[in-house]
Order: sequence, then C-alpha cells, then structure tokens
Amino acid sequence: MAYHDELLQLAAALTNRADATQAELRRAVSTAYYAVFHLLVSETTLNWSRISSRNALGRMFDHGLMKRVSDRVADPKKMPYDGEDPSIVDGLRFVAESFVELQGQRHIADYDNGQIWTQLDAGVPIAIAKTAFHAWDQIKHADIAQEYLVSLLIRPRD
Amino acid sequence: MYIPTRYIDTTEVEKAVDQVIKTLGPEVVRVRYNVGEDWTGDPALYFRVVLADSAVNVRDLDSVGRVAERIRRPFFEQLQPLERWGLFPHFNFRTISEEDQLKDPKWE
Repeated sequence: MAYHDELLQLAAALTNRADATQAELRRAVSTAYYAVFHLLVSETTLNWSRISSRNALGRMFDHGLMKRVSDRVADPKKMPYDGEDPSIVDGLRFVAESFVELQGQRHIADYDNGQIWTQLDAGVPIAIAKTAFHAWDQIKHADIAQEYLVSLLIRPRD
Repeated sequence: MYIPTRYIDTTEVEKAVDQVIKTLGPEVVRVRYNVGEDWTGDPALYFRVVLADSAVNVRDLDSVGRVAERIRRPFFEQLQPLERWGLFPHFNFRTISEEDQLKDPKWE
C-alpha cells in the first residue's frame, strides 16, 4: 500500500471511536492533510523517470506555494479553464479546494489548543481527503491535472 | 493576491452569506461565521455548522462526507467567496449533541 493510502487509513482509524481523545482527533485531522499532500507529491514525482531521485524531488515541495497554487486553481475567475472538459475541471477544483481546506484545518489541529475537536468535526476532513483521492484518480491523466502538479513544485518567475 | 481584511466590505459579505444560509435544509440547526485570516495571513471565511443529530452518522465517513459536501457546495457555488472577495471558505461541523456538551459561545 502506498504511503498516502496508509495515512488516509490511519486518519480514519484514529476517529472511529466515540471516546477518541483530543490528541487522536487532532492527529487524525493532521494526518488527513498529509495523506493528500503525499498523494500529490507522489503523483508529481512519478513523472521523474530516474526512480532513485524521486524522494529528493519530493523534499522540494513547499506547503505555502502549494496553498497559493491551489487557491488559484480553486478560483474560476483566476483559472477559468475555458474549453476544458467540465467534469475534469470540477474534479481538479475539488482537489485544489480540498488541499487548501485540509491545510487550514491541519494548522488549527496542530497549533491551536483552544479549539476542541469532536468526532464529526475531525471526521469531515478525513471524508474530504477520501473524496479528493477518488477525484484525483478520475482526473489524473488530464493535461490540466498534470499542469497543476508541475505548478505545485515550481515557483513562478516574478 | 493579498487583500487585508480591513478592505473587505463585511456588510456585503454578511448579506450574501445570510442568503445562502437560508437555502440550507432543516438538517442544519445553525451556522455561525466570521471573516479571519488563515495561517499565511490570507483573509478567509470560517463557518461553524451545527447539524441535527439525525442528519449524519458520525461513525460513517461516507455519510459524513455526503452531508458536509451538501452544505459546503452552495458556499462555493452560490456565494463564490473566492471570486468576489478573495475569501476561501473553511468549515467546521458539530452535531447538536456534541455542541450541547461543549457549550462553546462561538458556536451558539
């Protein structure tokens, strides 16, 4: 099983008890984000033909840049994707929206001790991650999906 | 593009958000929200949604996902907060039973 699949499975396992602790719920939310993060990293580095270099390439991803790119892809005004298959565009926007949402939740879960998590509140990010995995699988071969991956890694010129 | 929250017409945002809230089904007990900043300093909308206990099986992630998406989607597609104000909408959910135990003023 791929690492990102294991992370998603772990996130779900951490929340499936009614008496899950705050530590477990917070870890679950954080892990759901990292499941999607590592899915996108893995899908990007798969395009690098020299297998021995893929892990090093994967270390180059920057969470802030990935957020800015995903914000842009989620916004139809900035990225209208005119002429593209609407179902592919919807799937790509869902993945990008999910990335931004999960990253925001991960920061709260990891750093804001003032927020109390419930089983439902922690379950939603995991459900979103699960749907994002499915959405990505449906669109991953499309050119706009592959262009999204490249943009997640490469900082645009100023 | 970074837009400081002080430059966002919050009255216009509130009016538009309230319109979308009115379209939600009876499974939604109440929605509270505020404009804030995310970890990067970008402005964002933070929604706190309280659901009826009967609306969702919290142990079933497929049920959780369906209900959450049904509520989140109108805030992306009808409200269009990213396009109109550069605000990304973030959502947190509790059941009414969960909130009754916590009595969190931000959710009441």
